[in-house]
Amino acid sequence: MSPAPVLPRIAAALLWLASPPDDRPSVLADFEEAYAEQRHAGRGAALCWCAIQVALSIPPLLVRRLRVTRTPRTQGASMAATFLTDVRYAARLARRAPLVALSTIAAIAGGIAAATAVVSVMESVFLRPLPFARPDELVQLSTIIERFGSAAELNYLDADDIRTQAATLDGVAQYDAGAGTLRVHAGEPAQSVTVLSVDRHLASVLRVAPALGRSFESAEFVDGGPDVVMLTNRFWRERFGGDPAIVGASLEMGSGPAMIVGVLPPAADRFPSGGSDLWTPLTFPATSFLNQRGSIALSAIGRLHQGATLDSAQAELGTIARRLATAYPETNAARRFGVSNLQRAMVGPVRPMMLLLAGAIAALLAIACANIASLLLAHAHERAGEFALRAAIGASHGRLARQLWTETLLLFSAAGGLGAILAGPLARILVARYPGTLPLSSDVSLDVRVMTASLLLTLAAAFTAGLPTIRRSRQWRIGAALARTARGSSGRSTRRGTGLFVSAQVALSIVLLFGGFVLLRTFTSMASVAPGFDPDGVVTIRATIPARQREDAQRMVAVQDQLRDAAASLPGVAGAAHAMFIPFAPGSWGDGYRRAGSSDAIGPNGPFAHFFMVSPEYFRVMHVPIVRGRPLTAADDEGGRRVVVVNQSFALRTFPDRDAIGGRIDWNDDVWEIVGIAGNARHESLWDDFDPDVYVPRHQVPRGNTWLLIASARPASALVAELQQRARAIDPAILLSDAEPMRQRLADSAAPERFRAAITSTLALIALGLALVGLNGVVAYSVVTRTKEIGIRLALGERPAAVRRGVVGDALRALAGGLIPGTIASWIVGRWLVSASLVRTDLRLALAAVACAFVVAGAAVAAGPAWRASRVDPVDALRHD
Amino acid sequence: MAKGDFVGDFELLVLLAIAHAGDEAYGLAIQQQIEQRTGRIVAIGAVHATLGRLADKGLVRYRVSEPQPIPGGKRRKFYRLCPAGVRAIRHSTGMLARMLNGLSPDLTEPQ
Repeated sequence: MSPAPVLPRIAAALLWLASPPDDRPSVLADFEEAYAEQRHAGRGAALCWCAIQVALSIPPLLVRRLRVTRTPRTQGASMAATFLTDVRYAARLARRAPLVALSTIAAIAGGIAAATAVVSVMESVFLRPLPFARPDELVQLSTIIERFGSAAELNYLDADDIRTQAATLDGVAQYDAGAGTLRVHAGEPAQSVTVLSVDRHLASVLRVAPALGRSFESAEFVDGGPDVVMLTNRFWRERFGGDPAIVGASLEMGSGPAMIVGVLPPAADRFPSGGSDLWTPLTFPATSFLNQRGSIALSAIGRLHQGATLDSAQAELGTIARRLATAYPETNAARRFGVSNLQRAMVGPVRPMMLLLAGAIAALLAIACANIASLLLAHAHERAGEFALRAAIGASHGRLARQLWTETLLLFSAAGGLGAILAGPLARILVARYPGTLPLSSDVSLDVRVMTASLLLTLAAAFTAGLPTIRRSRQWRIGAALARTARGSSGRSTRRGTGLFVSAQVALSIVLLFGGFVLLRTFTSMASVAPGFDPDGVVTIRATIPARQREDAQRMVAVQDQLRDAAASLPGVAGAAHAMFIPFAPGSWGDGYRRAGSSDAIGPNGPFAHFFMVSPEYFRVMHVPIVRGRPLTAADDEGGRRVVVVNQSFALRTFPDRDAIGGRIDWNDDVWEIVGIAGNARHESLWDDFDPDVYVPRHQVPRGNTWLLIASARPASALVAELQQRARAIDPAILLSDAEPMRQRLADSAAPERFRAAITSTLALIALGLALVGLNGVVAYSVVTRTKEIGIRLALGERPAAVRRGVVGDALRALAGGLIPGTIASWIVGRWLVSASLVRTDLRLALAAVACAFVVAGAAVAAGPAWRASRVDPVDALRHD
Repeated sequence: MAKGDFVGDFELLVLLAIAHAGDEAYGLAIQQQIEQRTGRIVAIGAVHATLGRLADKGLVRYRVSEPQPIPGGKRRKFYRLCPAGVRAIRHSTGMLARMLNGLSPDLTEPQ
């Protein structure tokens, strides 16, 4: 039996604090019992219930608690009246010290807004189930090959076998997300869209029915069948204004006209991560590589049979994999299948980023709270005389505590309200600016759960910030206050308290600053990585060749050449090339090959390289150096010898023993001779080692996928517009899209690193500022309260330098208290960042730099008050009170 | 008629729930009685605060139980109506009944 579920500790703590001491056990017992019952409905539901119950319970319990602890003297007065008095008094005080009030409200409001925004995004990503029927049954299927790891894709034929053989799965569906081009009206510029090619099973596995029109029919899943599309709900609303008459209309897709047969329901916008614009039936000719056991290229999901578990499905897939390995040893020998919960698989990749964000913001909120706490403490300490007087004329401790709570809560509820208002826009900015797409389960909205979380955050922040002052307020008695004034020095316990807050702030700021620093270093070192080609002055444009031009391979290549020549003849263009795939754009052709004459297997167990079909001008336009041998030339056409240019990494790996030039490789059912060696270039990520790459003449392996690379300093938008004009003469159905400078593509590939670095370093700078302001405040305050003591010491002959050293030393001691825990915590955070592969830089160096920076900054901040302290005039000081 | 016999809406609900719950009238049981019978969400903390107030007024009394028989088990307060509590229920419901008396049925019948 599993242990009884435990009430969240924060809830228990809040209830414990709010309840009258006498009632604490019974309140907590009730909550524990009820929470255990709620847990049967699931963890999320129970947490939601708990948040609402705690939020609703705290006000009556607090009121009761205050009434119980009140002395009989004030019992007669109405609760509401005293509360109003407190509020009015607090407001008056806030007006008297507006800077304190405003900065508190701003700091806390910012913190709460940021925290609420992140909570609302995380709730939609992690807690809310996918918007499909029985979402827990949906699974992602993957293929695992020992040598390459796991890919969330299945071979088409394997998927078919799993579908018919697996009793634990009710369905297996495949799909492929890709870029497409679309034009609604002739004459307008083409638009790039995300197209989801879906097999006949996907709609039924997800359980989505069309919101409008019909689904695809069987005849449409046959290669050569009618071209049809379904619009996703979002695309339908954004592009067609939600016009129901659009069903039945025709769109110009890159391949030819396609009829809109239906509109998908909004739920389908959430699948896959980031959604798509259109669905089309997945079709391919029987000769396609997709139809061969060797290829693994289509994503796959499934639905668990009712009662089946991930474990039982995994076990059954193991059996099927073994069966296939025996039946098709050549392709399936090393192949296994994996199954995982679909939502978990979708959110997995964003988890480290979200944790980073949540951690950084929690740290910042904690720093702000500590800052405010010491501010309130110092502020209340100044009012010690007032409190002592009120206590002396009969105010109970409870009455004074209530006054302080009212003030704190008033500040925080103003801040919390402001924060809640700001949270919505902030969450939307976060989603919009997030590099890539977030697998949201629904639109990010501030629902009851999120607002409750925000309320609890505010209350927790108020408690943290207010509690020290209120605990301390017990000590303010008239005698003590008078003695304090007489002695003219701040109480040791106050100084210890504020020192603790400074230490806590320093520790948290060091962690944040360290995180920001290493993420920033990671980004800057990435941005300075040389890609192996010159990304400046190259514009990339995707061209979609109409289907009728693709039927004959030679004609298709001729069209591609004509497009290139048209681009090269544009004004301000130095040259143009075309290629099947280009660096830092989706798509690549990874394939097995072997050195001619060797006994290596061609396939998953043999050598592996990326193959790039390029026109001869590619090397000149991209400035990829030819290190040895010759580049490809126009003579390397369909009639010519089969030749390739390889990169240095390929040459070294495949021909470690001899010159690669003149070497031969077996690939794509042909023998290819290496005629040149090009410099290494990066194609997918600035981080990875150089892959072995092979450049193949386009004419010798013709493919329809076409990218144009244009050497020009002119803006991409102008080039694409002019080229579209010229393309009309070649074929009016050619669509151009995705015009973007190469430099931009490169920058986009580093977008996650830039985003992480920007967010954390911004937060870190705010944290540093808060911590230093806190430190300065504490030091300055302690100097002011010790004016008399310092004056006496100076009068007795102490040297000003010694006073300065003492003040700076005090500040550094407070700093040191945070330095050690901060360093340890930073190290732990650093290890996590490395293990989540968010960071690639030297941690020790960064840590040392951050710690040194903090000590220097701390000493600098203390210098001002120290200077003032050493200039205290003893006579003035003694006359002070 | 003592002043304490006047009770508020929610206090009356709590008193009635104690009567319903019988020997098992502790905070959560009372909260669940009210939630089930009225269909409105009731904060557990509000019930406890109200019980404390009713005890102050002398309308209910409680005994503290032995700790629950589980590790970390807590002591509970079990409530009973005092004679004044019974009087308060009679008083409030009686007042209500007299006010309703003679009104048209579509105003007084439960929806």
